[in-house]
Amino acid sequence: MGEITFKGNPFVGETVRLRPYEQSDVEHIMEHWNTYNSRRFLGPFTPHSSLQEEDFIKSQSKWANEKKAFGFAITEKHTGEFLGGTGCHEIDWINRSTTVGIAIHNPENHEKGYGSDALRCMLKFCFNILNLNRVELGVYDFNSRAIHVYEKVGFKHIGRKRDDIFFEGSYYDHMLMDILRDEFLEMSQGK
Amino acid sequence: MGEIDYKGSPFIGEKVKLRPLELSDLDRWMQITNNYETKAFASTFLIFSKQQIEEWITSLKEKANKQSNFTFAIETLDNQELIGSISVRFLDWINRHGNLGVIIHDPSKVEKGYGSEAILLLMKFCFGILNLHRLELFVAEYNARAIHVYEKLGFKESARQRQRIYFEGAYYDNFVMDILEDEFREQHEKGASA
Repeated sequence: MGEITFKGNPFVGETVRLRPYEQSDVEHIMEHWNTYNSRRFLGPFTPHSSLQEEDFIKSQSKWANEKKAFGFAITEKHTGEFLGGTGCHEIDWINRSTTVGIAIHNPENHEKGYGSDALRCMLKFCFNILNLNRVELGVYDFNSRAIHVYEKVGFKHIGRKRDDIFFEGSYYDHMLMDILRDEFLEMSQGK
Repeated sequence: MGEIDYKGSPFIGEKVKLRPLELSDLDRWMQITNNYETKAFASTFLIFSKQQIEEWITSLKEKANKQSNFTFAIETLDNQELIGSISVRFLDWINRHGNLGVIIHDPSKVEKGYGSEAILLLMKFCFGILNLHRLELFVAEYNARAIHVYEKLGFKESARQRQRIYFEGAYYDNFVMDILEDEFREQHEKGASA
């Protein structure tokens, strides 16, 4: 007792670093995120103006102050290059539950492990810093690349909202996945 | 799993119930608040206007919505009389703790177990509903009656803030007392369920 135990900085992964969003990130967001090709995996499918993205970044600070949500920019650990974003929102402090989201914006940065690394950082933040018990996420059933990552990181399938997503004339299911604190702690111990 | 395990309402006891304060409580509140001696024991030495109390009651709505403070009226069950209030405030959701504040304004209602039961109900609310890990309170060193009640309910002295309270020309120490969720369950819920 009385000695602090460090279990690892949740803001620094093996290949990425999480930091708060800044207004200067808007140009990067506009470049790779606001494309139809990227947005089709997360919605809304309608592109945002840079004014909307500025508001998004402003609301991140407000929500962080109110402890309603925490959003972070994902950057390359060594070069600082802006890679995308991750965050937890809809934090329910009584039941200690939240929903996370993650996106690596530029398709050239996909399949490099950035997303898994950032998501593990986010889970460390949720469980080790925010003291939450459960983390949920939703993913469209056509986003098989993401589903693979979530399974690898330790999320389990808990159900699907049928025909929840309308895209280009068809309905798709919205898959729900979650991970509990004990499962995460057990996995991190083995590492 | 799947079956609910009731341990009893945190809002209704045998002598008192806890309920949200309403603006319709204003007149009664003005009758019982501003009692100099009662307030001195609660380390509040100021008196408040009707307008201040009205603003305070109104502000509770926003605090409850923001989950920063839950304040309840303490009402006797036998004659539905408002006798005081109890709060869990300064809620810290990361470390999962809150600070309990309680006052029985009506002097004819002290030492009758009303306050003690109200605190027990609030503890049930904090540990059973809000999912807190630790509940703390502040009490002036001269409030021996309250300290006795808190100790009986399981609170332990965890700090003494020296000369924290100034009253009528003298400084008094302020105690911090606290109780952890496991201690609460051990003392108040063991054998109570099922």
